Amino acid sequence: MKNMITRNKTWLLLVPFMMFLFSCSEKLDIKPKQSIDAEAALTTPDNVQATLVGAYLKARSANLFGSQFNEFSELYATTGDMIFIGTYEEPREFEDKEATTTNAYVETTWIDAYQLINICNTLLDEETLAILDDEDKSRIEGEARFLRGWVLFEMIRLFGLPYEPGQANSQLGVPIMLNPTKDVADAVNVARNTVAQCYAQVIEDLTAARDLLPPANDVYATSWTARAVLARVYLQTGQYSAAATEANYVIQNGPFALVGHPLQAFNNTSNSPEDIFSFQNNVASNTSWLTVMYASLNGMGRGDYEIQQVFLDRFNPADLRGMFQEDTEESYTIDNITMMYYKGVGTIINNGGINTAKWGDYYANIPLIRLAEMYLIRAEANFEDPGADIGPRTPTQDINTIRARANAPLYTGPVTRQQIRDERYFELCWEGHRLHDLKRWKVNIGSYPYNAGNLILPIPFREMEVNDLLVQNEWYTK
Amino acid sequence: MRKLLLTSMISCFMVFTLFGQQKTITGVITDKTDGTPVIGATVLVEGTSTGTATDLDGKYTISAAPGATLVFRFIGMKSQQVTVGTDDVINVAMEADDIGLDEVIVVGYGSAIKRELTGSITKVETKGIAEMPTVSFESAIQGKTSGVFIEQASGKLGETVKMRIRGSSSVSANNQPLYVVDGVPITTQSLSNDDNQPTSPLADLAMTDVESIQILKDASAAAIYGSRASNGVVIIQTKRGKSGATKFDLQYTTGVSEPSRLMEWLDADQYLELFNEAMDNVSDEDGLVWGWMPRDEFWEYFVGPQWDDGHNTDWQAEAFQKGSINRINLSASGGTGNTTFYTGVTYDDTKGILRGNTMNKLSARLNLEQKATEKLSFGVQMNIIRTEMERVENDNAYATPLQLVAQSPLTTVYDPETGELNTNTIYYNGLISLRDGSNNQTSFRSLANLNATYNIFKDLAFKSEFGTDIYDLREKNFFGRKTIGAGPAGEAQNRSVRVINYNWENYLTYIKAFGVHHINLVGGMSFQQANSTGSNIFGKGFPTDDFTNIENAAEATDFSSWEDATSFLSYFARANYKINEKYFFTLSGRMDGSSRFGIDNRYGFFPAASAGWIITQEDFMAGIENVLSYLKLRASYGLTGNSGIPDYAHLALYTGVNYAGRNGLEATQLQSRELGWETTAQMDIGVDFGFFNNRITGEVDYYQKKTTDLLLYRTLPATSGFTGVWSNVGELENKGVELALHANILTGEFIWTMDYNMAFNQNTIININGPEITPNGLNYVIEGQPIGVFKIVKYAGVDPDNGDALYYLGPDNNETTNNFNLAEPQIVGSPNPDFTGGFNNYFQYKGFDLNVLTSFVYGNMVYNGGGRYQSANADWFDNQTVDQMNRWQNPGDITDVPQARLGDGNGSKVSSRYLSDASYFRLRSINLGYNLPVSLVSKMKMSSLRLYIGVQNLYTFTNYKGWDPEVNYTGTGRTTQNTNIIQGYDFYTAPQARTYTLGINLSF
Repeated sequence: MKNMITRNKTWLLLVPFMMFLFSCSEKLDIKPKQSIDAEAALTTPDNVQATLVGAYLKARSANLFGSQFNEFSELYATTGDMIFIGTYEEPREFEDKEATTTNAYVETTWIDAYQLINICNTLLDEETLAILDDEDKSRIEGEARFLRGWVLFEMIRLFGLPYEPGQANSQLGVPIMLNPTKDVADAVNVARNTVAQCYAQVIEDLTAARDLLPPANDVYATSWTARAVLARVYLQTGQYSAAATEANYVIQNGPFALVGHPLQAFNNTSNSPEDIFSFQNNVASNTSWLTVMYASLNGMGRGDYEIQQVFLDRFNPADLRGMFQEDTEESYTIDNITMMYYKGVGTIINNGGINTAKWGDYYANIPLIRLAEMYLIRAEANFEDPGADIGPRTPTQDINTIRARANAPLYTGPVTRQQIRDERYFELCWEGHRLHDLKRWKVNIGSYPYNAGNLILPIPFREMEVNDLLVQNEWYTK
Repeated sequence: MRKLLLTSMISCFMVFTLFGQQKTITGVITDKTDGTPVIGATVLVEGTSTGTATDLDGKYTISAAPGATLVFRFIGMKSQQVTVGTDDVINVAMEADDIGLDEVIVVGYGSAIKRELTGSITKVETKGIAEMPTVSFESAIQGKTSGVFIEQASGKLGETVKMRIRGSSSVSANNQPLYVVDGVPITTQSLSNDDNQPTSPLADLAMTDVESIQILKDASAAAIYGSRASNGVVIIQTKRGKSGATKFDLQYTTGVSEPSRLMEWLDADQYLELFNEAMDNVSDEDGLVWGWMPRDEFWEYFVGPQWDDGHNTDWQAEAFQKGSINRINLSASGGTGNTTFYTGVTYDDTKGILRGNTMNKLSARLNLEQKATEKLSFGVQMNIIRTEMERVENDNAYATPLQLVAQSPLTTVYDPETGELNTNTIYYNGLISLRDGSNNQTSFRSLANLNATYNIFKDLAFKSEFGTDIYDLREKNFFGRKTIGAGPAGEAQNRSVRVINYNWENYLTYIKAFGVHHINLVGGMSFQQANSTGSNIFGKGFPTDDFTNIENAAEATDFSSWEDATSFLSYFARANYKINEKYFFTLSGRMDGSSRFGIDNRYGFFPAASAGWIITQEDFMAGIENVLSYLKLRASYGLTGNSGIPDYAHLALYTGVNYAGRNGLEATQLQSRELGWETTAQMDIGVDFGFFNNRITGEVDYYQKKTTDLLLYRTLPATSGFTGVWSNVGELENKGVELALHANILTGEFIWTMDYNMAFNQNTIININGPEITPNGLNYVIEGQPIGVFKIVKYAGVDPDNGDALYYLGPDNNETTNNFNLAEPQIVGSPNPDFTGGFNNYFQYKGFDLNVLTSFVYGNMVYNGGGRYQSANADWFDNQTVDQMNRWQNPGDITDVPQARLGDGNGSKVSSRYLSDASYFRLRSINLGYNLPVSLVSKMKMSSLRLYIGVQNLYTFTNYKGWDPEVNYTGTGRTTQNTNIIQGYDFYTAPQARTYTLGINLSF
């Protein structure tokens, strides 16, 4: 009898144990809390819209439009107007025109560009678009095609040899990716397309975007934005009348206006009247790298990109765009800077040099397409293709519009080609245009011809390693 | 035939049994220390199969013939032999045996005695570790165990210590062992923010509370921990009370510390000489440096106005402070009747050698055991710990103290005019961060374990254990307005993390002896879940530096919170079978399921088998005990797993982002439905031996560990929009030999024991099914090479004709070039040592004892990432190491330091120039103690009084030129994969401290 009781007790003890043994299996299903499953991500219109917002964030990445596109261009283009005085290896390589295939800037740009393209492709997937109503559908499709076309344009300019108008342009560009990677099986090796194919894709995307996008779309891409980038693409490819047409359309019909002082176009926390497109920064979400590198202010900026006196000497003394504020103090933030250039006061590393005031606030927007550029495109395109004669103004008048705003003396006679080109530099310097302009004009950079192999980026080492279909740019194979 | 054999065997036994006249012997076996009965001790008639075990009162009954020898054994006690005489009663008082073949080893879900082990398990000598001033216990056991490579990343306090048991078994998943404290797998991964180096939750454990540390190395030992056992298991047992009068221990250790090594830097004269030359070498015919400015203006511009004021500052000295340690511990243990307890309080206050680095720890523990009834007993182990650290910034930050060495000796620490810290230095003056900033980390932790054992039958026990590890960490960082990047009005960060880790285990143990057969069965289940939550907020803009709370910030610049969880559900079983104290067999298996894996591959099974044979127990070995006293062969084979990857690695995920005030989504990860365990198959063959009556004992092991289905973050073409995906691809191998020797060289009044251990491990990546992996362009994962191998351009020295740095063109091309870009990177060395080990000596004479611990590492390379700034023949204005004075100056000069050329990058690119052999032999600890004579002590009403002095890291023999050859900086924003691959990387990393200590230990 005693034994029986013992046994009963024993089994009682084992009951919860046995129950537990078989009850925890579902405890292994733990769902993430900060993320959602991809299955759920693209099933509601709200989530599709949110994915599109994510695309803008990716585009603003410091590795893309947020900074590095600018840095590549300005560093490769400089032959002494700007000097990199920092310690980072990556910018130094571009300044020296001797990039290495493992350069982290190159790798991150490549990765982020294709992440952006993949986001766009995901949005452009028929299954995704199918859940949207018509209005949202054309807008979202337009925005995705705009971002895909725009980033592809930047990528070809950086990784491919220059576009040669009138030629076959069979030189290698970058791979064109048009389908989303939904599964690891989709992550296949791809080859580079030619420059001609890439530009055709860029123009197709931007043209589609222009026609799909609405004229107003908060701070996001509009039909004006698509037109402005198209104007850039046409100018880059020597299609002057098309460039002038798009630029003219934006100037004549768009809701934009030049700001009073050239510096007012920068460091704004909301879009200025001059902004055709700007990436939005605020305290909670920002890409500060441009300011980190260019500024030397109290608490902001390393002052690594130092502008040289020889550059300021190019300006007419009255030109607001070349003014230098020398009596700066350690406490100065961008609010205390009234001129386009100032003596650096930064506390992080470099100070005492000449810094541009275009990029002076981590939390201010990054204007990437300004109305001023449209005037410059229209002027140059009309000048280069006099037969086009698009718009109501002559190239001289357009150039003078820009000079008048900057308080620079106006040109009285017809402007020369050099004056048009100089004006672009005066107005758009440190905004990422210079390298592409010099290549377009077939101007030597130092001792290197415009189409030198070392003036384009290498396909990143990591990508060459993983994808055997890729062919490296020739200069990097020596 | 078989029947015949059996019959003859039985008749043999009968012959033995019948030999001599049997009589019945009874007796009681007690514990010599307290007289309590020893339950379950075995009693054997030597040379026969007759045996029995003591009952609950310690009593036994056995029949034996007069003249026969009875052998009394109990785990943890010294065996005794008594010859049967005329008495019918033989009572035995057994003595505890802490060292040697009969010592008790805590294994997973039970314990065993060393003699009977079939797997490779080492019990680490813990004597004296409580007297060592190290912050974390791993540092205290460095060099003590063969095959266990322990590396402290730096001399900063409280940082993660790397431990590799038999090499790295994974590329992307965790390579640290599993730590089990009092049966609970505790939280060990760093919870500190990724902007700084990882900190170690293991540093929370008070070393005085530690009773034993055992390291399970092979598959047989570890497989019971299944999916987390690939990297070995470290089992830590804390102290338990013993029945008897309450014993109090008071221990106090105090000490001072300093950097164990310094580097030599240029003084002002040398600096001027070298940099003037560097500028002249890049000046044009007009004397303009870079064709830009004259030399003096360059000085003024880059080094600042002080350059010609005649200062000579030793910036290295500014980085360090005089460290100190004060540790006090009070503990009590004892028990009455059915209750025993151990309780201890430790307060440890350590000031590091780096300026601004401190740590203090307060720990309280209570371990209680209660025998409730004859059948039921339960226990509780509770530990509450508060650890507070003042940290310094990560090694790759201008604000970290050691980056001060980059400053020019021509500039002063303080501005002579204002008396404030100088801001006119070439780089940000990091001392400003120490003055105006703080980096505080506080953790509260409670480890609690409740367990109950119920003896269902005499041989069958059920044990249930519920353990928790609740860990709460807060970081409060403040950056004053004048600190780097925190202008115009200061920044602050508040971050908190809480990990609630609980573990419930239920298992049955069945122990039964049938004559010479003895079985021990364990089976049960366990469930573990760890929930981690956290939040992080950055604020910016404070009224003055006196306000440091986010409350006062003008705006929150970044904020986040997170919630993660991971769980394991496991079933395990083990069978131990021994025959006649000679043959031992173990079978074990564990089935593990984890939330970390894809739904298709959630469960894994990890079996292991092993066998041992004590050859010296065989009759044919009899008679040579004086020479070969002990010989045992062991062999094991089994599978273990690794699940140390991020939570949710198998899911396709979108994460929330924010742009322009709107919420967005971003795809972060591709799905990997089939993601499953990484499996390591390990074979181990070992020999344990003892010579000259066990005067010299030791063990030798050969193992081969092959890891397949590597959990690899496989690289994808980025054109897909993703850079990688977690997959099970590839394999790697570790194989090696371990040797441990223990010699009692002198016994008697003068005692000298010596321990020597050495381990060779060879790690090879067999395949990774994809491109080479590198997180930093230095350390690589390459097929056919060990993990983390260095692949960089090979430096070829200096062209004697023109002072150009030369590089080899490539791996198969010994031609040199002065154009770095033409040189192809090649494999130039490995950060993995060829062998590691320790050599320890212990002397005792009268009341004095001396313990000398050393450790060595041989054949590994370290890359000094700071070298291209520190030793770059004046490429930039960073102060240079003195060896740079040996630069090339004139044609024909033979040197390996190229011509000094400012800003020319002559030799300063990443190359093997900055890679060096980091083998070392370190006098890790020397400790001299004196125990006052008992006669004297008892007059003072104490049971013992001990005084000791010691020194840690007295000297390190090495050719490494940097601060410390034992170094690793894994960078910020690290992933497990980066931590595994980045090895042997030095970047302004602090050396370890040399600490002189003095202490007293009172017992009463």
